[in-house]
Amino acid sequence: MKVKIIVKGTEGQETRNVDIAASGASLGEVCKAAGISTKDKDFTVDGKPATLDTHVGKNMPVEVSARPQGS
Amino acid sequence: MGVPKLTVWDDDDVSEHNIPMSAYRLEKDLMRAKVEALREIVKEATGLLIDIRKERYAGQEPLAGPVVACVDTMEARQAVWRSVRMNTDVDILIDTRTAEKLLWVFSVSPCDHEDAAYYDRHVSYGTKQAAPHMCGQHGWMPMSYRAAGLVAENLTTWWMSGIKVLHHKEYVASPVTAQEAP
Repeated sequence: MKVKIIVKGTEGQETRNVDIAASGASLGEVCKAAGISTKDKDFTVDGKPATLDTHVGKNMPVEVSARPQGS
Repeated sequence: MGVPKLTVWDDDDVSEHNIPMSAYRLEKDLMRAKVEALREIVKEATGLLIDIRKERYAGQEPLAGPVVACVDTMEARQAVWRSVRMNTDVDILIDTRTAEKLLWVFSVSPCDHEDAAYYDRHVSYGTKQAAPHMCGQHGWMPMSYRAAGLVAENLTTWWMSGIKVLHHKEYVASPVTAQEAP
């Protein structure tokens, strides 16, 4: 299964594509496979708020974002 | 925008780094209390004399009407949220958050349970669990103006049609990146 991950940081945005052997995986497993740090991040799966336990299935885009807090 | 009454809370003074990304004037406002400088700017531009409080908001007065939070820490947002959540006198809360080129703007109906739950998730963590402020990257004019524009869009849409614009998150590319794009 191919998963598209959009990573938004304070200095840039990038898209990563990762291959997952199974037909589904948890968001935590997907991020680990893509080499993305999950510390203090905000997640969505298929456009909905998610946690590291959220199931990621086929054709479900993932977004990982830093958390801005400035004014 | 036709606002007849506006109360602004801020305990800070105008610093040099505030000048390039705001309406503060270099020759008049540097080192002045932000709220006093803003009152003068708004009076000159619109004739409205705003109410000012030179202190941080920490729940010392009840809030009413639309509330716009442009604060620096998650704890400050939590203090505002404690006064706003399920407060029937507040019809809308707009919260802007920036970190270098990352921008989030929340538009929350405080008495809407689904909306409140969504915002709860995004305000529950502390400052240490959010992106740190980077020295020298305190503010970026295109970001500040974009945030201000989204606040104005949210407020005017709400006042004119009663429709709340959805929560907004984006990465604002730098001009260099934009020039490189085909």
